[in-house]
Amino acid sequence: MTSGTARSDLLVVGIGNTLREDDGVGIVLAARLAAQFGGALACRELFAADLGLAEELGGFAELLVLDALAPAAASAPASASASASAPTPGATGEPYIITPLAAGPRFNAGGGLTTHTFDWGFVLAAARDLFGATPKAQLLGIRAVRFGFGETLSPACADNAERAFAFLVDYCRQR
Amino acid sequence: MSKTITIDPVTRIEGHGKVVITLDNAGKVSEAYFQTVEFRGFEKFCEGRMIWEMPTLTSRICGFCPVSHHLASVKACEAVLGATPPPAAVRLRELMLMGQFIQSHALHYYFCAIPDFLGVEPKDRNAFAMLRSNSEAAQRAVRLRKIGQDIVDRVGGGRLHPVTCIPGGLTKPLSYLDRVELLKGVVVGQRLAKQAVENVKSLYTGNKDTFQQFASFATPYLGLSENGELRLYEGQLRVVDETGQLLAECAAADYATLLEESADPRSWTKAVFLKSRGRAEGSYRVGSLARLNAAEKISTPLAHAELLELKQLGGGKPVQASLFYHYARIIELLYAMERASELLRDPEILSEEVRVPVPRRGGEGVGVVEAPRGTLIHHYKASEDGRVTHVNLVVSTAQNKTAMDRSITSVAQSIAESGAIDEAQLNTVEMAIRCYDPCLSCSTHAYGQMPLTVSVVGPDGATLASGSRRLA
Repeated sequence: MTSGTARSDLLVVGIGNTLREDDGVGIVLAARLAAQFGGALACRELFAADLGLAEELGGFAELLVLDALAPAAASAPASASASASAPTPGATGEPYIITPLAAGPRFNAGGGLTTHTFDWGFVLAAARDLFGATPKAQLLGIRAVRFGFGETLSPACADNAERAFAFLVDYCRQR
Repeated sequence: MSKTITIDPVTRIEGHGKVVITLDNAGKVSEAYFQTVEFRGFEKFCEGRMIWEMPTLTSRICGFCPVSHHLASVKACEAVLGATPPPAAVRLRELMLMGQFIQSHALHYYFCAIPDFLGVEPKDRNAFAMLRSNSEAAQRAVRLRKIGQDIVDRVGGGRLHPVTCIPGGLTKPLSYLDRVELLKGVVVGQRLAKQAVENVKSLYTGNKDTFQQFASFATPYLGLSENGELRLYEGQLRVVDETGQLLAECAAADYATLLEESADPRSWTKAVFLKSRGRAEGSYRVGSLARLNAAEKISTPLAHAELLELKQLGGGKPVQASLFYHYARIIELLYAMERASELLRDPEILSEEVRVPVPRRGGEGVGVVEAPRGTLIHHYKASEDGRVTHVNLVVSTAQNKTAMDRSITSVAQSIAESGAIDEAQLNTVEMAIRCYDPCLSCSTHAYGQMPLTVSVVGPDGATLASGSRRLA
């Protein structure tokens, strides 16, 4: 079911691995948004930040990345890219957190640029330096709990995703 | 006193590996080897799965060459099940492979290899330096990569891990709209690929001595070909010796008559060698330079002209120096773009007959394709109900393992002689490894600057010296 006209200046990118439980929440949300707006909203579903977006970002005023946020003390692997740039939520933190993403040489905590934890800073730097694209860029991190094998979200993450979705539908609607 | 130098991790490669250099009492390099420190176990945990699941499972082995695993796997499955895919499916699979070569070669050349030649401090040699110092080339890299990814996405059903190949064909045909969009990209891509060729030639001209002398040694070379013509999707396994003479040629399914594997207690990567020469003397190379050394011709005109020019640099023999892997990579990039154009213009590519029925049965089968990093072999056995009982994967990095060790040995002596370890020396060793574009972990594909720890260890295990570089 569609929900009004989507913003044309916004690119939404869902990030994660849908085979690793909550890690896929960004992709799940991006897919729901695409369905909600009947394809009118620019949505991408990716495993990780993608250098190929650098040129495409020139066509948008804003980039919104949706990704899972790993719990503070989790020993499970961090989600695809969120951990590189976003603060880690506390155990009783908000269901989702929005943080700015900046262009620049900022290496992630894992120790460098990788195809699975590709740094958004590099993609944004490439967009700026190579294509003159300087969109406002933000990460919406959804608080996640489980990163094991499986294609379903944990109940807690699913609840957080519902709240994030309600916010996103409004955020992505044409004003 | 003998000592050991360790470089851990190696940077701008796919995965996590380290280098160990052992010096003898005279301070000379007695041994150097590249060590894979991760264990994945795909060959074991795939046992018991149904064989038709294998193309999707094995596509997850690697985030950098998933298409090659997907294709080698589906070919092995079809060999087991006795299925022959229709012509359109074969073309679409080859097109998908071209997309992977385009994106992988473009990324490695521009963001992993070129930074070594930027004339900046070794600690600053990374992808960001590339953005700053040569934005035109970096822009080209981004566009080339996107063209390749778009091909994989539209044909394979996903930008990263394709899912469309199934035993007997593909799950979906190519739409007319997708064909048009991909052709648009390929037209632009051919221009960009030609510029990349000029770029690598300029790089060679400006660094001729380095190219010709760096990690240069003679080995046999292996690649897929058909009557001496380069092939990436299917063909015969062809080996030429150090002088370029044909050493062996066999059907890909008969790889075990040509190659032998053995475990290396120091690494999770198996050692592979030419059976006819034995383990000690059987080192050979695969990958871009190996393929072009093994082939006599290329079917597309522009790439063929470049191949002949490359061969002239070898003076009638194979080009041996390891940095020419980068040069060969770009010729293959051009070939992949030309071949993608041919395939997309073939009317058969739009056929809706992309799948044939496949019987459920057991048996044994081998699938071989070329991956960007070299020849990739999947070998399966399955029970009569289609359950996998045995998996053997012979990946390119394993085949290049001993050659990489030789490359490291050839450049490590400067470290041995200096008595100190600095960034420039470390980078030199890494440069030798990067020529092969090794893929180690196949899921945590690391490139760019990483924390680097180096330790010099004496025979008693005591650390004699250590150093590290920090993140930017």
